[in-house]
Amino acid sequence: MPVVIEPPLIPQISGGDRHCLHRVLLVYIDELTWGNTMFMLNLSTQKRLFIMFLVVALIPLLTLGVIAYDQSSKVVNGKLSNYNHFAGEKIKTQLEQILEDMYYSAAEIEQYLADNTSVNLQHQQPQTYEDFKVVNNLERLLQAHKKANIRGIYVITSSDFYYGDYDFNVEQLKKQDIWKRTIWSGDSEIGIYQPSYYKNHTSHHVLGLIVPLKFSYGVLNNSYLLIETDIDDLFDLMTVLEKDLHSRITIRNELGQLLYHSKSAEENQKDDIIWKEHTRINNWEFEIRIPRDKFYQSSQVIFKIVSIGILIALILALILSYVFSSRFTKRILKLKFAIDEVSKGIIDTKLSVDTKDEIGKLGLHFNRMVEKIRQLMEEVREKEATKREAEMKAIHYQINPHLLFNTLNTIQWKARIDGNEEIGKMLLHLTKVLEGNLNFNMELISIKEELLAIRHFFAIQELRYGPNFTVSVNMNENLKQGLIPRMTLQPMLENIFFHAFEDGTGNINLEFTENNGYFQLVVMDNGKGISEEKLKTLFTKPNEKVRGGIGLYNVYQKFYIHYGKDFLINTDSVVGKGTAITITWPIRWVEEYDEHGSH
Amino acid sequence: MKKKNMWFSLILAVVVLVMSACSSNNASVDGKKDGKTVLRFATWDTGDTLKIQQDIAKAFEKENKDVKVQVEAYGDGFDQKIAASFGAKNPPDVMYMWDFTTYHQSLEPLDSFAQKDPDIKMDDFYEGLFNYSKVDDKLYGMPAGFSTMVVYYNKKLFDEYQISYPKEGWTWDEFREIAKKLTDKSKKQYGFAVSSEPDTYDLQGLVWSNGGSFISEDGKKIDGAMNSPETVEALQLYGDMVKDGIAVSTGGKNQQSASDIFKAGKLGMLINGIWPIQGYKDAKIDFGTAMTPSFGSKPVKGLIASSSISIAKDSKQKDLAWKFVKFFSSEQAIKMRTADLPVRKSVVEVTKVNEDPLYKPFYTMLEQATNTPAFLLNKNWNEVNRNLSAAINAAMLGQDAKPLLDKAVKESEKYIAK
Repeated sequence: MPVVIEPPLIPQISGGDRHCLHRVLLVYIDELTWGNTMFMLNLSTQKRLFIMFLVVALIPLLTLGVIAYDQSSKVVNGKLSNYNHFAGEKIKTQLEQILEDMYYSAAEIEQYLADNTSVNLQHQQPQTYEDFKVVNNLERLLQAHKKANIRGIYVITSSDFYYGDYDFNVEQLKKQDIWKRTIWSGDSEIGIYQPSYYKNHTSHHVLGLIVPLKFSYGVLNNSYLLIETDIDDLFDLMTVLEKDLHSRITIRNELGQLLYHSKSAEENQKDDIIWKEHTRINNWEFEIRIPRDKFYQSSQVIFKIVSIGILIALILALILSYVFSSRFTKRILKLKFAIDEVSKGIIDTKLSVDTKDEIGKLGLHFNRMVEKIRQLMEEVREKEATKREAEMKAIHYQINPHLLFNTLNTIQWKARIDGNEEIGKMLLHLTKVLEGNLNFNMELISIKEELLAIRHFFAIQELRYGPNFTVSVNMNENLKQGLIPRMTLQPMLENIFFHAFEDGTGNINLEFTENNGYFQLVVMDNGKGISEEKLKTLFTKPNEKVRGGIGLYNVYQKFYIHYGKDFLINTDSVVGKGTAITITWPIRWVEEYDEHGSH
Repeated sequence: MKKKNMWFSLILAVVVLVMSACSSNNASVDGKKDGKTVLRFATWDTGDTLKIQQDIAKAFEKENKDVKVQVEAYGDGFDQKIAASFGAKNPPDVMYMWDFTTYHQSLEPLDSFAQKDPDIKMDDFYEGLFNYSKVDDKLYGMPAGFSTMVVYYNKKLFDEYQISYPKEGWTWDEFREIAKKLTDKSKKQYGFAVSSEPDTYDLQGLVWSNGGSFISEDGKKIDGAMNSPETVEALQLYGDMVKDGIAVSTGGKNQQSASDIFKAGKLGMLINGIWPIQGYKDAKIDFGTAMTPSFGSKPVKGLIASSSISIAKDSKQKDLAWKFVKFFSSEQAIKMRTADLPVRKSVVEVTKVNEDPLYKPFYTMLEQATNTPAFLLNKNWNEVNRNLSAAINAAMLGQDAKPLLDKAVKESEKYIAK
């Protein structure tokens, strides 16, 4: 891990406080994992996933690999060791058996030869009928002792005549090392050697025993008994062991003299694996020596195989981890791109969701969210469009007032100069009404102002129609500070004068109340009333081609712009009796509006 | 992914474990080797003659692809090993055999096989050969090869001493004269070789030729046969030649074999079967063969040494064994057996071997082989033979044969008595 983590502050460990130590460790581990997490957090999700999958794959892989190697090499080494012991034990046992047989036979034959009643030879080389009979018996005894693997049993007399099988050459025997040793020591000698005195010698290695016969009587005195056992089988076994285990076998006699030693160029090493035993008979030392690396060769082979296996698995894990993590992160990336697009304003982005897992759900939620945003934006855009339309109209109207007011002033002055006072008054009121009408600065105004504005309107109507109508306003004084869209009342009143009253005759009643956080305005007249079908379209947008009727729609629009859908316009009319229009809208006060609302 | 890897690891682990547990199944089925049926065949032959038998075994394997013939060469230890294998009830399926009196109980009678199998053509064999493998009129062995005994002589030495080559009808007196002439002790050169410890079997031709025998024809008497004047005279002839120094004692302890001396060109004459003939040829000795001499006007008697091939009673695959036995007696195998005389007349007719001067005497001797060997006449012959051997061994040193043989008869009477 490239990030070096400073160990966190380690509190002083009071002696033996295990809990404290535990906590410290925990803290430390926490810190480590935190460091780890930091490191991990710096990586891309794909890399993180990749590492995670790799770790997850490697832990069981390595564990299994180690266990497999450990167990199988244990088994193999155990078996090898057992085989080694078994083979060693077998060779040793066979050697012991051979030695035992030879000693037994030698003792038996010696006793027989020492017995005057059974062996009563007149000559060392048989001459007489009796001699031949004795020799016949003697050779049958020798034959009887000649077990399967005994190469030969011979009695060699002091005159070099011998008893036993014919295929034997005494002269050659006398050249053999073991014979010389026997003569020199005067005692029994045993050895492993290759005899050269057999006429058709098929065996290569024998274990030979020579026993000097000392009877102090009879013609066989000072003869020698030779017993040789064919140990080619044993040699084969040892060769197999030498080959199989790369072992070196050493056999030494009780004096430490070398009887057999494997031909090998290798030197003895200190760490050789050695199996050493002594034979019961003769106390021969039997040693099998295996170089350590050769002994553990098979576990090295296993190690290689396991390593290759793990390596292959590792590569596979790498590939699979990469493929899977990239597949996983690809979906996250897709989500990210979708979000990017949305953030750029491409709002009709949609994710294709084909799974039901967490990422799938995320995509589903995302789609729903985008849909909602889209709806909201649609709403906002509609509102904005309405507003813009109103503003455009307003601008359109703003252009004219100067000319209009100047013209009106001019007309007013002309009327005053001409002394037409009534026209002057009318123009004054008209100017006031138009001022109110054409003032776009304050969109929401106090009810009080609204009421003031309509006074000029009424004044004009009075000048026009005369005092044929009455207007009553019912309201609590405190409500005058409530806010209402500018020019709400005038269109409605105009409507009444134009449509409900004939020649300006009738009663108008305005009533402001407050209820449950809403203002309520009821505009009532006792005019002609409105037919039912007309009543329905009263506040809707009028047909472009038909002039007029825009006033009430504007009222509706004003409320809509300020309060959205949080207002209600209700109309109630009885033909011939009158009409009541009720508008309900949320309460807001002048102070509030000044603080927040106005620009 | 995690799952996949777990599986992968598991599979890997299994593979590794399987690899490490390399325990091969080495259990072999009894009598089978490499999917082949093993037929065991035991012989006493060694060297060149063993090679011939191995070749025959291979030829048999060629014809029977599913069979492996395991040739077991017991050599000198043949009797011992065969006896041991019979005792252990694990004998070779097929084996060489000559001593049927001793072993017939462990052998499978072949009469029924021969009857069922007309291909074998029993009348094509020399009839006399079956006598050697029959016990109580049951056939226990098929003739594999045989030989008679003839005189081999060194032509070069004969020429050197200006001696004319032996002719049919020559006598032992002539023989002794020739032997005497050929002997030159200063050169360690001898006219004749006498085995110091001979197999009594081999001496029967000599004894029969003088009208003697080791046992009466009915096999019930040895007194008057084994120690008869004719028998004594015949054996004394050999002993005297040794004593007189015109024959070298051979084959005993610390002695050379007659064949070795003959091959060295230091021996004028020897009596032997056909077996070493290839060895003599290989040694580049210019030699001839002649029938054995006669005692005066007495007819010369031939001796057959035959080897047969038998099937063990305990063999578990006797039909296959018979197939091998039959093959061994087939024309093809007989032609391969150059160290024996062909046992089938038809082969001789084709090869005309009996007209070859080197081989002709063997066939002449075969015609004279009308006597029955002693071992076929009495089931206790082996015991009798031990005493006879002691007497003959002593006689071959040149001692007086009569008292020796009398002693042997005296000590052997107990085996003959009913």
